[in-house]
Formats: sequence, C-alpha cells, structure tokens
Amino acid sequence: MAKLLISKRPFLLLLLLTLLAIASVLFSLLSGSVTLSLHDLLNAPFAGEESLQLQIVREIRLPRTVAAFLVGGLLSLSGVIMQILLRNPLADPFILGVSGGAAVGALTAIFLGSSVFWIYQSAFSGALLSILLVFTLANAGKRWSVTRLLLTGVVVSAGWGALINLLLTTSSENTVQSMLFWLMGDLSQSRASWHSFALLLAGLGGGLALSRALNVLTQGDQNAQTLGVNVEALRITLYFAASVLTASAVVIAGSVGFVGLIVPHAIRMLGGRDNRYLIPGAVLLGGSFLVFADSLARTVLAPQQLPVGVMTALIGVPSFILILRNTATQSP
Amino acid sequence: MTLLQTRNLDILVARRRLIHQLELKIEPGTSWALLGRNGTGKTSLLHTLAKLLPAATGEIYLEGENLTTLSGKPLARRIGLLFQQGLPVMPKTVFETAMLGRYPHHESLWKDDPEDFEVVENALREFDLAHLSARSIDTLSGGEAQRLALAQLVAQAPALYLLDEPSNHLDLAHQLRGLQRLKAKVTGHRAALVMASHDINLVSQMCDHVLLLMGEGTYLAGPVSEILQEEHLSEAFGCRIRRVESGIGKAALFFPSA
Repeated sequence: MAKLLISKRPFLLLLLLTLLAIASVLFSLLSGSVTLSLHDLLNAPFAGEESLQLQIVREIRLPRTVAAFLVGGLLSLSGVIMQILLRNPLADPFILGVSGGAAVGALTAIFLGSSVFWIYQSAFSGALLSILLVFTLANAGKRWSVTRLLLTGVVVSAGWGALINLLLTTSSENTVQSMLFWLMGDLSQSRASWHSFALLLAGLGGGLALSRALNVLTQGDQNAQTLGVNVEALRITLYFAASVLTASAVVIAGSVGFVGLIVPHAIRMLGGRDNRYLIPGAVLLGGSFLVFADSLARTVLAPQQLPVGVMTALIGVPSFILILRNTATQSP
Repeated sequence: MTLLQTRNLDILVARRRLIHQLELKIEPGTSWALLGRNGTGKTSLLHTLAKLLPAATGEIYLEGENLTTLSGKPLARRIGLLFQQGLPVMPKTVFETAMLGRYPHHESLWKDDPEDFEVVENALREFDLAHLSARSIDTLSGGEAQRLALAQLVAQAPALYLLDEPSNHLDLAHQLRGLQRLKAKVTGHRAALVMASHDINLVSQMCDHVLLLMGEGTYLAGPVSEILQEEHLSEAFGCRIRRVESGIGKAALFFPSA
C-alpha cells in the first residue's frame, strides 16, 4: 500500500509537468502581436517555404521562449539546492548574494554605457566574485556552519545592495530605466546560450545523482553523516552548484524573483518531497512558469512590455496561496 | 571477534578532558549502558565512536579495523547512532523518514529496491508506527517521533547501535517494548548496543554491561552486577543512591535518597 502510494504518484506528477512544459512553450510561441495558428506552427518543419509569421516565431519568439525556460529551470533548481543547503524554507537563489554581485557588475557596465556583451561579462564576473567572497568569508578560521554561511551571504548581499543604490542614485534617468529592468528581471534582451543549456542539463543530472544524499541531508548534518553521506564534500558541491546555476540565470535575465523560492515549495506540496522527483519536477515547473509569465509580460499591455519579474510575482503570489490552502485542508 | 575496541582513548571537548585512557571491549551480543552525571562525556563518547568527533589520542577498532580507515556508506552499514535531540522536523511522511535509514544500503542512485520497502515496513511495525506511515512527521507526538527515530535506526540495521537516551519521551510500555526490540537485534547476533541513559532501573533490566563515567576522565567498566553497586553509583552521581531487591526475579531497584 505504502509502496503504491509513494512510487506511483510522483511519476504522474512528472508526466503532468512535462505536458505543462510543452503547453507553455506552444502558448508562448503562439502569443504576441503576430497571430499564428497551432496547425501552422506544428506544420512549420514540413512547410516548403517559410512565411513571415514563421520567421518571426523562429527568430524572435523561439529564442526568447527557450531563454525563459532555461532561466526558470536554472533558478528553480538552484532554489531547491539552496533550501536544502541552508535547511531554510525561505532560502532562494539570491539569498547568498550571487545576484547582488551580478547586479553590481551589470549596473556598473550599464553606467559606463557598455554594450550588451560587456554587461553580460561584467554581470558574470560580479557573480563569480560574490560566490568566492562569501565562500572564503564563511569558511575562514572557525568551523563552518549553516548559520555562518547564511549570515555571511546576507551581509554580503546587503553590501551589494548599498552599491546598487549608489549606482542608481548617481545615474541619469535613461540609464536608471534600463538598470531597473535588469534588477526586476527582464527577458526582452535575452538569448539563451549553449553553455547555460549545458549547465542546466549538468545540474539536473548531478542533482539526480545526488538526490538520495540530498534527501538524507534534510535530516541535518550529523544525522546525514552517520547515515553515510560525506557532508563536508556535499556541502561544498551544493554551494558552488547552486551559485553557478544562479549566476548563469542572472546573467541571462537579471534577478527574476520568486521563481526559485516558490517553485520548489509548489512541487513539494504537490507530493514531490523526495528529491528524486523534486529536482526534475522543479526544473519542469520553473521553466513552464517563467515561459507563461514572460508570454503574459510581453502581451497583456502590448505594445508595452513589462519586466518578467513583475509578472512572476503577480501570478506566483495568488497561485502559491491557492496551493497552500488546498494542501493544508488535505494533509492527514 | 571483538566488535568494538578502544585503546588509550582520550576525548577533549572545549579543552576539558572528558574521557581519559579509555580501554573498552565490546563483544558481539552484548548490551552496554553508558551512565554518568550531566557533562561527563556520554554524548561525546558516542559521537566519537560514530566518527562524528575526532579522538584527542588513542585508537578505535571496529572488528579489528581502525575506525579512521572507514567512512561513508560502508561505515554507516556497521555503526548507527540515535541522536539525543531526535530527528529534525522537515516536511516528510513517517514512511519517507524511516526510508532514509536505508540510504547506506541503496545500490542504485534512483531505483527503489523492494527489499528496502520490506525492511522499513517491518521497522515501522516493530515500533507501532505502521498505522502512521502516511502521516506528516510534524504531526507526531514527542514519543512517536522518538519511535520513528528508532525505526529509522533499525532500518539502517548497523552492527553497533549507539543510542543517546533512547527512552526519551517514551511511555513505560514503549520504553520496555522498544528496547526489547533493539536488544533482540543484538543478542545472539554479531551486533551490540551502547545506550546512554539516566534511567538506572531501565538499564539494569536491559543491559548486561555498564560503563560508568565518574567525571574528569575516570570510569568503571564491567558487568551490570559489578558496577551497579550503591557505592559506585553514589560516587558517580554525587548523591546517595540506594539499591533494593525488587523481589521479582533478579531485578533490583535504584533510587536516590537524602
């Protein structure tokens, strides 16, 4: 009985999430000012010559959709890892300062009027600096602890926050506008790169390989150690994995909030507490969620485009409350 | 072969020498009680034997192998530890929590082994938790949570059971039955248990050997009948402890008296 209860339901959940992911991508490709029917879209690979509509979909919507899915997947996976690493349900991919470092890098580049390429490079360098800074400070001298890492991350984040405010207050009005879009999370300039795709796959594969150890780690460091997990090595791996996943999402789309915090919880509430299902489930739901959110962000007030970060919060808050209410009444 | 042996073992915590030159030999099939005042090093000793804490000096041998050469899953299949503070509450069901005890036995990264389900279901049944399998662990009472921690340890099925106050939160019936279940895993098997406790009466019924920590690193070790004497206990706990025959079998009763 227990066997059936545990083994079947998560598979069903993953199947539904896969369907949701496909639906979200189709929805995104079909929505926008240029209309296209589902029939035409699905026949596109077989059509002899490409219509203008199909060209728009292929050149503009498809790359943006892929970028949205990747960013959503990267942030959700990072959120899962951060919540386990810090054993804190409020942890999100940005809590240890990666996004702050990236933001300072990106904003400095915007401030200097650099090209998109240099904004990207500068954001990545800022993220990397922050990752190493927090790790070094948290591990210096005294024995490592979850609280110590969390406090270090929060303090470094606050430092980045001050620099961000400094850049915002000293910039001209035009630059502030693009800085704000970057800070809120925006996909309008985004192009997914091959290495972020490879990174998501690697993260997913690595996460699945470690999923059982992660299950044990939720019991606490000492208990995990006596059950045979090499806690020290796992902790370092998780810190760098989560940080690099976050960094690669942030350089693509800025600090898109909310995805990495609520998607892991949503999957857990839907019955995917086991990390073997939580990890792929979070990638699928996070990707779908951001694709939907971005489709809405560019269409609801068209031709005006909203930052996707605004949309994730607007959709995320009510749907999260809904899930919370439903599972609260069902739990035994 | 001796299951666990310590040689010249010293344990330092915050520069205090809790254990000094401990020579302990735990044979298979035996049940050891670990008694002593608060802060004499019971938990530190258990954690050192489980390789959570480093020893200051001396060696620990598990079936002749130096403990420093063992680690990870192979070690977890041989030594298990019940923590004093129980299991931390994370959103999981009773069954999922007990299943974590099977971690050192999993061979596949992903696939479930039917044998694991069987072991876990048996462990839950042994500690009266089968009917709570699907319950979320944050709804458990203190005693139920303690039984779940014990079930997880039994699912882990180590050769050496290290138990830090296993009777915490348990009602009298579960104290007796729970510990009898654990003892059944040990007597007649190539396994042993060491339990830290403050319940001398329970210990005198459950264990055949006692390690009595007297403070400042000194200790007494030996069979129950030798160590559980009024003068030793009174000295160890710093208050007069009386021993009376219960009149039921060989059981004795211990109580402090002014």
